[in-house]
Amino acid sequence: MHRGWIALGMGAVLAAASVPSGAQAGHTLQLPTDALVAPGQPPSLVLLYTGNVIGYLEPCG
Amino acid sequence: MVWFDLGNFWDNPTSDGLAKTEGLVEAMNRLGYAAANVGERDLVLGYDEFVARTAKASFPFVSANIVREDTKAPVFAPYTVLEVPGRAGQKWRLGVLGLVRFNPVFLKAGPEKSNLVIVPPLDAARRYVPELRERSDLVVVLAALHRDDAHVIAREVPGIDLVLGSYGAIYSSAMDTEGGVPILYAGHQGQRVGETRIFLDAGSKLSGSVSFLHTLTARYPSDPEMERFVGGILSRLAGAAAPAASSTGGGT
Repeated sequence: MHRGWIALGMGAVLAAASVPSGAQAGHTLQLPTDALVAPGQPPSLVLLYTGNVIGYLEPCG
Repeated sequence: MVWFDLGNFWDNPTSDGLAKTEGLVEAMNRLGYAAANVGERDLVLGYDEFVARTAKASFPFVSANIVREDTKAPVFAPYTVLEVPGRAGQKWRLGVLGLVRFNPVFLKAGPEKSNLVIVPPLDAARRYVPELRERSDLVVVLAALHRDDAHVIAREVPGIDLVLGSYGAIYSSAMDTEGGVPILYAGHQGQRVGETRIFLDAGSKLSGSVSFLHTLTARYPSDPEMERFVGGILSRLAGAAAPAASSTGGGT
């Protein structure tokens, strides 16, 4: 089940708390299995983005 | 951390849909969205209704190629420049441009009894990216258009650092680039969140980026406050619908 918008707040908190240990280029966009935060070097900026939300507030799947 | 929406966030133009759209804008406020692109769907009821329903947004809407038919001037800011604090206390200038797919038959009510039309996004990017580049350390395009069009824009318009896209259900499963410019698609319906980590050098120049796509399955914990907020909206809508449902059932 997709948790959609409800999860976003917590996702933001987790991303902010992360201390990545190794960024890599040319990779799959999938996160490591069972990880909510990917490892990597601390970046200068983190951009988070959504699109085509079309009003979904509730779980949709 | 900087949040963007890539456009087409509106629900259907029904009373319930409009209530959810307003709730969505409030949720975006609470999450701290920094800017949002405007999609065709967002203007289904025209400019004035869009402005009214998004009046409480604490973030700007951008679009470089939704213009008045009479003057050809954009009705939203074509771009915004965000000052984002860096880890060492410096300020990064983040330029954000909005684009939507070209639709030659798009025609909606604009401000002051004008009409809104959409001009080709490539033309708008050529018009605005150079000046945005001069004012920014990083230029990000929020693109509500097909991935093929995003590639053309990244290839034809110098000065773009990153294209964040949304079009239907398209999402990126692996890094996609055009001339070294990353092009990333975030999917739809709030199911996914794209994440791009930006690395700038001491001269505020882009030295690299790495991206991920979060699919918001149940393994992502809910934020209790947001869950209560969303639950409140949905409960109100369900409550408003209940009397009508019982009356159609009839009987006394």
